[in-house]
Amino acid sequence: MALDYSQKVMDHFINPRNVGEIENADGVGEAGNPKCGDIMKIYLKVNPETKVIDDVKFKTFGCASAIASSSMATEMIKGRTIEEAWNLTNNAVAEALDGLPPIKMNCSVLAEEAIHTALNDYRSKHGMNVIPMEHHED
Amino acid sequence: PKGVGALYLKKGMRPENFIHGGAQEKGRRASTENLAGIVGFGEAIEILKGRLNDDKAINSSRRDRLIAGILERIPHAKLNGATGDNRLPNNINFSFIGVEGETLLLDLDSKGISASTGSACSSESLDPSHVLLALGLKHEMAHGSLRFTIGRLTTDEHIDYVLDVLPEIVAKRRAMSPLWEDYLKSIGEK
Repeated sequence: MALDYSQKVMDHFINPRNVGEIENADGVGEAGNPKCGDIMKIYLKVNPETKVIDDVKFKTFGCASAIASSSMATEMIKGRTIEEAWNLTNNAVAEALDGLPPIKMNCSVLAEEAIHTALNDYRSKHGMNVIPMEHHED
Repeated sequence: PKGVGALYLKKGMRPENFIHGGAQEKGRRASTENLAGIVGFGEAIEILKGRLNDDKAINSSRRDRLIAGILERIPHAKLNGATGDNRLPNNINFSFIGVEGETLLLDLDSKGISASTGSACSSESLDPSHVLLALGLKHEMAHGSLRFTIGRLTTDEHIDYVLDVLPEIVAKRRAMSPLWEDYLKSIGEK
């Protein structure tokens, strides 16, 4: 059973960007769980003055959509402020990938959740209020 | 031959008819029987009986070489199901903790290797293989399962090729997996 993946999805799957971890990251967030078969972990390096995300890395356990979504999502928040990054939506990620199969849209939702979790981790460690967010336990 | 099949029916069983109309096959399946197909089917069985033992030996040997090779070259690989005579001669089924099945399939496909998986992501229903779960596998192991089936057209070179390609794929995808990282920590290897 082969899903119809766009070229962008295949590109980010075969050559994912920003794979890895950041030691002493400013914010770390994880979303998903082994039961649903998708886990994404995001590491952030945030500039203390400008609040710009200087570096972002990810690790993902999951299918091609999951890997492509995390890769694209990290590309989209790199160099953005933490406010701009918070506004990243799963639909924007899916659109940037030229679309995901409907059954795989939850992978982009997971990417959004992982980034929000990482940003909130940063916020709580730096004396900022945590922003309420949805958790998807699938 | 294509276009004919056989069903071994337990005495007393009366399944619902697919095709209604005439009373052929004792009223179980209407429509004139595919005579040429049935004769061909019988012939196929005769041929099969003649080569079954040889096929079984050749397949089992290749199967076991692939299984042994994977266990040797890929750390923390788990064979699913029985070994030896209790195992289908043509079936190889593994779980690789830390990686997901659809990902493995696509990576293998890019190298010209076809396989299948029991991962949820690769099924229409987003459920992992109920068979693997019934075998007692945890979800993450079911998600990381990979099945190869071999046959008369499989060659030793094919087996060698898979053993060349698969370890690298598993290693690459494990390196980017938080589940693999956590697993290594949990067994004290990181």
